[in-house]
Amino acid sequence: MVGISKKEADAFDKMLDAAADLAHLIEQSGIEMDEFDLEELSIFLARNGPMICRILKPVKRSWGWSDP
Amino acid sequence: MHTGNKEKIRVMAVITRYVVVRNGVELDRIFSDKKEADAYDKMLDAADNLSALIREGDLDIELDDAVIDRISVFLAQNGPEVTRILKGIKLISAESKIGKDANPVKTEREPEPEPDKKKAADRKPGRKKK
Repeated sequence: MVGISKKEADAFDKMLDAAADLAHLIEQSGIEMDEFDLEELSIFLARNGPMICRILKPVKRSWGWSDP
Repeated sequence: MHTGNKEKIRVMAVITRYVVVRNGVELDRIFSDKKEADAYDKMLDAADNLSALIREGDLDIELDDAVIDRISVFLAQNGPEVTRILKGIKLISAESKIGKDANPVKTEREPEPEPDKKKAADRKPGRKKK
């Protein structure tokens, strides 16, 4: 953990906060998955935040939740 | 006396309905508005892209493809909310040291006997200090 600036640490913190929010959101889907998988997935999504935002850009509104 | 005549009147309406067809499969959802159908199609495109990204991520998780697909659709259906949560996140995986540290999670974790409970607690303070 040498050489990490406060800025980087803050960015990392922010990412973890977003991951927690995402996990909370995904839980609301009712899709069954274990806690560890959910955490792993949420952190992955948060770490790839900019990419996810780009993918979701064409989605202009929410659709509620239904399995198509 | 005129009721007999009335019965003969037929009102015909032409209704246009839109369905979304993906991979040759027609989805159940029917739209009366082409814009809506297109928007729904875009949402499903986003879901496809998300599940591809998650699979490429080669995560150490035990979710099968069907579950990943459902999660992706859920995320896409809640696209604006997800975007709001992720807004302001800088890409830290590629360039920063933290990112590089966090990447080889797998190799770090394997020797540990029970990493599940410890992990969340370990991560945050660990990164925070210094």
